[in-house]
Amino acid sequence: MFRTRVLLIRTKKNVAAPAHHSSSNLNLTFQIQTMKLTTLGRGGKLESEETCPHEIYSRTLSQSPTTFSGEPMTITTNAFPKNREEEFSNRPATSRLETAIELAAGTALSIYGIVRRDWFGAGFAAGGGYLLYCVASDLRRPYQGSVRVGFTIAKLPQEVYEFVRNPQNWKIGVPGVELEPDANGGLSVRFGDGDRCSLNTRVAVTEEKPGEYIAWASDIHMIEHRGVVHFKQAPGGRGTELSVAMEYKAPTGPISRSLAMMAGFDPEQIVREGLRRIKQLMEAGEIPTTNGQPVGARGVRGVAKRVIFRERPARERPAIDTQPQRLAGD
Amino acid sequence: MKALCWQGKNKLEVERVNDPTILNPRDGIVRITRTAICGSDLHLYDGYIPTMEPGDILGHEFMGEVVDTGAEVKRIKKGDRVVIPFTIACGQCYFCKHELWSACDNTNPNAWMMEKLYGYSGSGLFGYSHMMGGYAGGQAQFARVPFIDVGALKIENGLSDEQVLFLSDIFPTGYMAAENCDIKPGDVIAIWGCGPVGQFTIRSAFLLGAERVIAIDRFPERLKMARAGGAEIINYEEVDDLVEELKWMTAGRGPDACIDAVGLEAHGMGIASAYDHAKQRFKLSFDRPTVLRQVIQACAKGGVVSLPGVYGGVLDKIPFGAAFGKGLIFKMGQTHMHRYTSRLLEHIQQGEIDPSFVITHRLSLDEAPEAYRIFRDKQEECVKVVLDPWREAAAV
Repeated sequence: MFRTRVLLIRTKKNVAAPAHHSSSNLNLTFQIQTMKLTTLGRGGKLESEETCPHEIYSRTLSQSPTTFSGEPMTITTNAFPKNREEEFSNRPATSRLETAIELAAGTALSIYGIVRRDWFGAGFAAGGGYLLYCVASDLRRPYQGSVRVGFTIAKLPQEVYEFVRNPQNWKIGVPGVELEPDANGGLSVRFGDGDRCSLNTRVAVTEEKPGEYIAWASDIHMIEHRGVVHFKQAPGGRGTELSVAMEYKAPTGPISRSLAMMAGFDPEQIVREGLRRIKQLMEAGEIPTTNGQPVGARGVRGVAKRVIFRERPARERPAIDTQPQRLAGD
Repeated sequence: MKALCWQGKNKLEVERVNDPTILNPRDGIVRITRTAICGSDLHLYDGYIPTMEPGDILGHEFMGEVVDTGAEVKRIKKGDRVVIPFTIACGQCYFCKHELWSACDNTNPNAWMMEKLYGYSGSGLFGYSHMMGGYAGGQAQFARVPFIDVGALKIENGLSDEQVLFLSDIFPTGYMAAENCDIKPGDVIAIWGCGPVGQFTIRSAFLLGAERVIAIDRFPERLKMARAGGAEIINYEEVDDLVEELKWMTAGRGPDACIDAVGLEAHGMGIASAYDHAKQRFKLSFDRPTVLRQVIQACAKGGVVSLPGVYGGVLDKIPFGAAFGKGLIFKMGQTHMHRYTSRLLEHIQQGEIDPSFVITHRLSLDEAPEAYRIFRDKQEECVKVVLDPWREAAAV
């Protein structure tokens, strides 16, 4: 869990790779000369080093312009297929169905066993108890999920691409996000208000074709995610189809995932609302809001529900100049 | 400022709240000179629309004077006299560009809620639940109007407030209901519900060239108003079988288009109605679709069913076999306000219609909770209530 995989690659500039080095939608345009997969343990201690064949990671390598130097390039990633398998990472994930079945069967068996009050009953109760133990340990297993969201934006693909590619605009998609470029050409991403809970992750663009797609992967175990943003011309002059497909693995079980959802950390929600805000800002020039409008007395129930509607009292509302104001092309 | 706040089912209060401020660059602030209570506000009053919260400011029919504008507002200036359409539209998205203003993509801050319920989200509305955007409404002294350049209708001549106020909702809603019927020469239009929208639908149907209009209600004062608008009337409590009656009146053809201007709180009669009431009582349904069933049954073959009346949830016992068997066309939805406002203002200026005929009660904002009750219970022959937010309550 605390291991980091380091990929060391030596590349040669501007040589197209043979077709079999490419997966269906990625096309490497540099030749890989040497590759080494290094596994680092806690504190950066070297654990193992192996040389990998090309095919394994032709899908996750970076094509960022800064790497066309013929110099060795290092990508740190654990969103990286291991042992030729399409494995996201080797930590097993839990599913809700699995947990639900275990919980139901465990409870039923335990109760039946206790009610029988004989040695067979003790057996049943022990079996049920084991299932309940599995449920409890499931709560600590990571959760794996995927997100697919698409929005059609009435702008040209190039405009949308440029807007999305600019990390400064990510703050619009995910309010409160903090970004910090790091030495490897990646980005440290931190969001959350810091007081209640926050999330840290590092993102590197792994593959990109300007105006068409951007693929990314995270490389810190806090929350693993990788995915691709596609920009496609929509039919009939409807603009651009902006879509995100991603998969993620959160270090939490179902309970903490539900809590995270309430705090606004559900990946699906973040991506969907982020894309929506981008669409709203690009098309209408502003993001609609009711935060800061007058309201009457909310009452006890109303105050509780304010959390759901993300309402802030009038005085806490930031000034309008926190929003870029000239994007609608008017 | 003073504002009418929803505090729960059948519970409204006039409260002192903060004045609205500009929140986005395309906002404007309007000092409200007249506002009205809409029939659809009664669904909120009766607690049938989900995602209302205590403290929400009601009202979506209002007009007034612009007192402040955001940095990006260009067309509208301070001091302009404006009528505000109840749907909020951005003017830039695919739907706005195709005149489907109430389907605007970019004006509902709580779009995710509506997406959960309806699959996709429509535009934001003033004072009509959080699902529809949660915007503070216009039964107040001031209101913030997002995208004021896109929506606001400037009134630049001597027309009185009462003549133009209903361009904010019910006149365009009635007009769209009639326009949806695709009226051809000789068409007979039947309209269920002679409330304010029904009254405008009757007159709009004639404006659009209907041969005959048959209006259906049970309140004498409303039927009288419908007759004054040129309609033939049916009091449904006095006929045995409404569908047979309509068949008789149209010599077996049936009405070429049927308009349900009632919506989810139909009064209705008989077993089906009792069933709907029971379901609604136990919160199994938001809607009592009595009228919807009748319009489908009554409509002529190949005719149009037009629904300006509001429905909220999942309906059942809808005679869809009849709808299919007769090849009916269904048209419905929130009014695409921006499509109609200036067109209808023209009709008012030409003197072809004076919308103030529908007003029966003129009250102050302080009397609004009482006004809702009178309007809901159809007391004092109430058809339409107009509120003046700045008038002191009359001494009782």
